[in-house]
Amino acid sequence: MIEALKQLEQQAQQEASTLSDPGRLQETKLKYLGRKGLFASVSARIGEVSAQDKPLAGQEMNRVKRELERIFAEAERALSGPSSSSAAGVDVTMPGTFPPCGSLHPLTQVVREISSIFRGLGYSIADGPEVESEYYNFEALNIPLDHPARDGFDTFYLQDGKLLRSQTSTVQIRVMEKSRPPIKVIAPGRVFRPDATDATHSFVFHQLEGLFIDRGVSFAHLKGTLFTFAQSFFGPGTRIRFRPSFFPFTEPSAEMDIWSDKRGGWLEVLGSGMVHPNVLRKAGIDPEKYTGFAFGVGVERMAMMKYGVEDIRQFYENDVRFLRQFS
Amino acid sequence: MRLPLSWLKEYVDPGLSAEALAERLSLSGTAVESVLTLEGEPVLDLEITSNRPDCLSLLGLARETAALTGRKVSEPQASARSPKGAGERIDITVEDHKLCPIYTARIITGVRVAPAPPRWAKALRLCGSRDINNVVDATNYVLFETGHPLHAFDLDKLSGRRIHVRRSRKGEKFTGIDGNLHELDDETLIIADDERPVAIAGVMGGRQTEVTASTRNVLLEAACFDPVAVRRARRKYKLNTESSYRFERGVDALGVERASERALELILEWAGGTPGVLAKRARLRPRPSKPILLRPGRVEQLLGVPVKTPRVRAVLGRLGFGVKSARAGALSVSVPSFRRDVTQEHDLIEELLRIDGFERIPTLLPPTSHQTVSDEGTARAEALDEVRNHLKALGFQEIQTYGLLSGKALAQSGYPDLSLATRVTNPLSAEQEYLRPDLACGMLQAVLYNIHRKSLSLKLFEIGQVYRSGQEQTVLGLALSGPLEENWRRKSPSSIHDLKGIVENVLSAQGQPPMDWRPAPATALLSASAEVRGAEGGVGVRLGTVRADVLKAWDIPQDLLFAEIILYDYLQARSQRKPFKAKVPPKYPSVRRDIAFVVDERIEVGSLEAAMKAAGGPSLREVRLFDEYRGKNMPAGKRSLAFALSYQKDEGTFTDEEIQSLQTHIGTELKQKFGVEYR
Repeated sequence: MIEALKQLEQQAQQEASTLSDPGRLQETKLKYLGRKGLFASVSARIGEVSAQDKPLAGQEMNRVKRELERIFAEAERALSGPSSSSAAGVDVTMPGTFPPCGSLHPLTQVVREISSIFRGLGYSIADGPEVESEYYNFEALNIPLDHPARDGFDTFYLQDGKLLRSQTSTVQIRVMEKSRPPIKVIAPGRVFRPDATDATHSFVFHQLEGLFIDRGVSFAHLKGTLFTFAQSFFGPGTRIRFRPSFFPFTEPSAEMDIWSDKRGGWLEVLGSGMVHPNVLRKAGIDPEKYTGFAFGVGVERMAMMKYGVEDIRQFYENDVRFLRQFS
Repeated sequence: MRLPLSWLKEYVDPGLSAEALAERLSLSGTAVESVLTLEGEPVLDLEITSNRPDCLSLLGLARETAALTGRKVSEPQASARSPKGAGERIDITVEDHKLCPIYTARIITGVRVAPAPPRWAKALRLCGSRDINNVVDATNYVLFETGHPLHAFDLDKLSGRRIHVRRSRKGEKFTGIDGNLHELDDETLIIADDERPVAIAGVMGGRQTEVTASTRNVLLEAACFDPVAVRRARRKYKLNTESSYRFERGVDALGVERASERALELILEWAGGTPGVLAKRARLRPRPSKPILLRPGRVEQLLGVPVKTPRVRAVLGRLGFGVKSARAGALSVSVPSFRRDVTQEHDLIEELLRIDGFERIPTLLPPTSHQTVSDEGTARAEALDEVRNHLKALGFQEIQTYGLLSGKALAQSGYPDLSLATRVTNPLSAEQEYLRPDLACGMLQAVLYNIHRKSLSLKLFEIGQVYRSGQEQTVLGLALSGPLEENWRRKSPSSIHDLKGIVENVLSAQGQPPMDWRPAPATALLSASAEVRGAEGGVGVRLGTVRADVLKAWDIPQDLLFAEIILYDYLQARSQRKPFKAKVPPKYPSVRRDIAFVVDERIEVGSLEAAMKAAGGPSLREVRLFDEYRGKNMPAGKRSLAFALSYQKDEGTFTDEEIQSLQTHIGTELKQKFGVEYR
């Protein structure tokens, strides 16, 4: 009889572990532990056991019964799923209590993404002051005093005759003063323009400037570099086109557009051009020996396109409900 | 600038639809903003860049169209002339020829002023101008056709027979044709008769001498004025006119007389009359600009592809340049007087590029000959990024605030003396009047904005440039408001020590050794505050509780903790981090003993720690405060403190007696120095 009990235990263990349906599990449990179940029928054979062996058989009966109960209880727990842990006194569905993660500003993230694309192309990062002199913001960039070209660069002036830079191109000059070609830098930063604020204009915004000067740098390289940028930032297969434009510090100058299927048209993305020989000369670089290109990206504009933000002011309102999305 | 297609066709037929022409023009640098339909006709709305004043005319745009389509421009040839010698004379005096290199005045007598013929009046309307009368319209027509602004005076209303081109005298009065009265300064370039100003040169004519229905005799002005003088006057008197727009960008002085003849022809045709004498004062520098050498090698160097010489000749020729062969395969290119923007070889290369289109240029990545070195700027940017990542992981949200502030906001944020802040001289509104001297004000604005929107638990940071005492610095601002933690297990309000811990956490990750915190005097912004001195003696870190009166002024209903860190010093520390050798940890675990006592609350934990370290000697490795108690069962002015002391030897272990004797010694020292009581 003891053998039969042991066999029963093994059999039940096997059967219970393969069941995945609670109904079948109940049936099986009854099959073993029901009033007319297998355990009852084997136990009934106690009468056949010799008086000498009875205590041992009794012990074994009790042990196997407990074991069977345990096997089925466990199988039930396993099937009733996640709440199983509460049986051990721990409700793991209660919220974790470590403080949640914060978020980085979307403009930071866009600057980072663009920077990392250009870092991959071998550019280093440069910076320069926001409070600048007339020289760096205009003169050195081939924008003479009282020239209509200045109308495009309306500028905040300070009491001491300095000004708030209206473009990050100022950093081009600072870099050229400090180092000799080859020069390959990007310069992200804030710029300021007295523009009336609306959904697409802000008197403070960010630009990311790029500058590459070396022997033999041509417009074809400008195209290649910005093409690579567009594929990385806007996705592979992005169509781009260049349109002539005018910036006093580049010649030839070009705007880059990308094709938008959504709008069914071209979108202006950035300004670029070959560094003007006057700018190189002013910085003491021989334009016959060296050529280069420069470009400037509007960071807010990129962020608006990337994240579908419709109003530039959202970047400066600092509503944490808006910012949290960028974690 | 508007371009009516019907008008363009008077000079060149593009043979393209309006849309196709718009595309071609846009891709060659004449940006078409939109294609309009006005009075049933297609009109292109253009944005002309400031370097191309020649394209502020139908003829200039006809040349562009011709270059793009390979067709020819037919320019109108004015045949009307003024007679020489006889008739009434006008004299001209020009005070400063630099400001007015050429001035011509042509008399036309016996005109009949009436509306201009409908076809021409409509052409003007399509260009966005008003049709006024046949004489004025003739001058405007020539303005749009050639880009030369002209002006017609009523000759009989001019006082005397002399035109003075001079600077205004201070206080002189002038009423423009727009009816507005201006009091002039002493440097405005004006046209005057013998008595008074009759026009602001190149900007606007005067009311009293304008051509009206009763005008019989006309004085037609055609001149060239200095762009800077016109620009100053336009800005000073806020008069934006078609005329000032063109003079500012540069009008071709050599085309002045032809424009005058063209206007004469139209006036005679539309208003009749008889041409009178032409008066002229000119001091034009006879500078047929020096030809520019265009080298095929340079073209290829800059564009990355060669352009064949016949193509160069064709493109530049259609744009009005003269092209001759020069030495060594180069070309000598002479620039027409209306293209003053072209001064060097680069400019000519741009012409080739834009007419042939950027599509022709291959798309190549530059060879990677450039060696990337780790430089200061990159290291700095990377360090700032690490700080940002760190704060994000600590649960902070990055914000960006406008760097310009109102005086009111600044005064409310602990800057009562605005004379210390840097002021913008030309703000658009009072909101942009001052440059931020710190990040506190922007932070207060952001906190208020969020509290209004029921976001009450705030951990914010901003990294930005601030400007004080003429110096620009990169600063990190941190703000904590509302509970630090609020979950089902723990609820804890933010404390100044939390913010201190956060600052230490962030800076130590940047290689900053333990910092020497000192209590700081209250400021107009912070009440309880602490600071760390920076490398050059200034304050490197300051943090504290924002004062109740500041919060009240901002209407912020909850506590706010604020810290500002001058990042420069700490980023320097990071870059100067030296390589070090790792030590093997001690063989035996350290021994911990606690010490607890009641002490006067004015005694700082810092000095207690220092005394314990001094008394404990080299084997006392760490003193850590683990409890503070004030309040019930504690005498007023006292607090109970509990410290954990860790002892460690480099070799071997302690005996109980050794430890006990150190503890006793420390206990005695504290009692003697600070009068602590053990309970």
